[in-house]
Amino acid sequence: MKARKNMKKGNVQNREHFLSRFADRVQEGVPAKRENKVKPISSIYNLLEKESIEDVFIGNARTIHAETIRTNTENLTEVLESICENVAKDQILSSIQTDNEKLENWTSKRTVQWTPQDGNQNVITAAQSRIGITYCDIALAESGTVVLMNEQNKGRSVSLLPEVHVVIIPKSRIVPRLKEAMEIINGRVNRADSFPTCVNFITGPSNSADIEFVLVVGVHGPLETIYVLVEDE
Amino acid sequence: MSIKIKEGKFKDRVTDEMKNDFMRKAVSGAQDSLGNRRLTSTDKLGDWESWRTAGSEIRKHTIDNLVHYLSMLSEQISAKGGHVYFAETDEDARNYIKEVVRNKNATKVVKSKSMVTEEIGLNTALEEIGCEVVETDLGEYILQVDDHDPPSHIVAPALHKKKEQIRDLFVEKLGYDKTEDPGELAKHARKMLREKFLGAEIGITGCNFAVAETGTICIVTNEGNARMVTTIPKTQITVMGMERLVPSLEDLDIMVSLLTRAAVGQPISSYVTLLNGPKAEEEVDGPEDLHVVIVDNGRSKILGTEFQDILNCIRCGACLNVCPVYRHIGGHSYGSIYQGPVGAVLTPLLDGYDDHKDLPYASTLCGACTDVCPVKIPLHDLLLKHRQEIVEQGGRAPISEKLLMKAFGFGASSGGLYESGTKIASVSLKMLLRNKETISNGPGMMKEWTNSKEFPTLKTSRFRDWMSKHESEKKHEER
Ligand code: SF4
Repeated sequence: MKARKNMKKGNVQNREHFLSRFADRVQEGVPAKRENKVKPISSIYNLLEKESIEDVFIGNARTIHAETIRTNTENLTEVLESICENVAKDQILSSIQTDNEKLENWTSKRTVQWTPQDGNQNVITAAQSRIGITYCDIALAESGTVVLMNEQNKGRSVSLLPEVHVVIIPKSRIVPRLKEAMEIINGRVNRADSFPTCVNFITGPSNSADIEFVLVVGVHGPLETIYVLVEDE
Repeated sequence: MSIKIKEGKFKDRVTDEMKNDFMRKAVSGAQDSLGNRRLTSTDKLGDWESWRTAGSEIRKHTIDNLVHYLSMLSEQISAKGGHVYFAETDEDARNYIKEVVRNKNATKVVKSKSMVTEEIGLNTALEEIGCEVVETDLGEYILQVDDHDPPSHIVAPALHKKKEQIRDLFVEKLGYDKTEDPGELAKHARKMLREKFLGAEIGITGCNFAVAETGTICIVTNEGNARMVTTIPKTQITVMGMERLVPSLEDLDIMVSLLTRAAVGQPISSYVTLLNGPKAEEEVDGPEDLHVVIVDNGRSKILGTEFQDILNCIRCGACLNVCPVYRHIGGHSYGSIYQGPVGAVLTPLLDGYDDHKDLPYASTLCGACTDVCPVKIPLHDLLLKHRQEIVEQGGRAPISEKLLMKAFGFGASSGGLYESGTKIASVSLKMLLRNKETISNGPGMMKEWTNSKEFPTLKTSRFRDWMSKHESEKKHEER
């Protein structure tokens, strides 16, 4: 496997002895390529024959306390502006890579942009921000989930530390369920030079039922999640 | 904490715990609500049985080929820049982790939920070398603040705590001055823990699944604390039981789909995080150093034995949520960090029969656990196997079923529960019959089962009927 630039291999310690202790009690060698005898199929595919994928996505997002605003490329920045109304620029952090010039102009004017060169300052900004805006890589209709692959320009903190997480979701990126997302990620993870070190499946704001089984929305992560679904790219 | 959390006799613990009315109401409420949610979510997914079958095949295949997949996993993690340490014992694991922490000159540690770190007593070990170790799962945080009160449910550790108790605790220990409203309490915990996250040097996590083919660590949470722990500290230590892996991302889809539905009735949890090595050099947040500690601590002894299937467990807690005994005696009675049917099977295997030989008797053998298990572990068969083993070793059962059933509040008259059973594979029946000592010894529940030559199985739908009938009978008896 070709390593990422500058990447050192990690150490592996005590493997041989550890495995030798029970090697005689499990199968030897490389198992034959395995196919699941039973291939389970989600009912989502039946549903998608009747309903559009974005409607299914929005319906499921609603059940996990995520509000969805539908718009198109043309009106996207107006929608973002209305969400960010009365919030100052230094309270809004974004990590969006886009060819959409209007969007790029808006984020540079209205938000602090995630800037790798500034190092840890990005995290400090995230911790102080009211709003974090991200652009999703994949979305899952079955569960109303967004998938963010974190990289240099897309920090983990943006979707985590601010109180409100706003996610831009191009309609074309919605897939039926986890299965399709895993296929996409599998393609990326095996690309030795540029695999994402962190992939987050995020489904609504953080929550907990640890106190008397009462659902509390907003624990360690964002208190609120807003999805902005964009009709065309 | 280690596996064992309480001293004293099992029966005494049960008697004590059963006086706790709040706990019992909380447990039955949680069982009912989680049960309903689980059924709704599994119905919606489609043919749940086919998912369970696939899940159990994946787990069985992985465990059968553990040497291969552990080699592959460690290669992949290492290729992505992470360090891997194979720990044979709890002590080996503690020592390695202490060494990593010392090398970093670190003292501030945040942790997300991890059963195996409880099992190896990691917190105490780190505190001994001068670290502040903060649990960040809300339930575990509450228990930690309450002088390490033990967990009572593998998924909802603070289930036995009243909100008023938590309020008083926060007032006393955390400078809290608001009401017992769970939202307000959680908000305070958020504030306290946010500071801890932002200052932490080391993040310690568990691992729901590691993917052998890609070296991916998958962590499933609702609160987002595991994301904090893997975003802010510069060093991440992930501790996993040696059985917690799957071959591929394709398999991971199936396992996560099973886990979140079986555990909490959600199609997916709020956060499913996949980590592939430490952060890349040009990235800003995420750990610079990643250490994955793969722990045996008694697991490999189970390989190749008739108990091997318990290694397929994905710690979803569903078997607790349907168990009539757990419902009555609560989590603390088990005296183990692993409660319910899975705890009754696993605890004696990991920690020996000496302290835990009563646990296999904490079951009516109704089979509800086996029916609900998302990876089809034959839990009640394994409990029977334990009983057989115990009798073979000790010459007799450690505890009379009759007394135990009475202690559980089942009375000796709940025979009706067992009449409606359907026949299940006779292998365990034969075992039971061989096991004369256990059964012919008096008119306990076991006798009724052998008389009818049928094992009781309670289908989940019928379980609730039985429960409500039983509850009213019990009230009647108490009057
Ligand atoms: S034994 Fe089965 S039901 Fe119980 S926790 Fe493990 S996987 Fe879940």
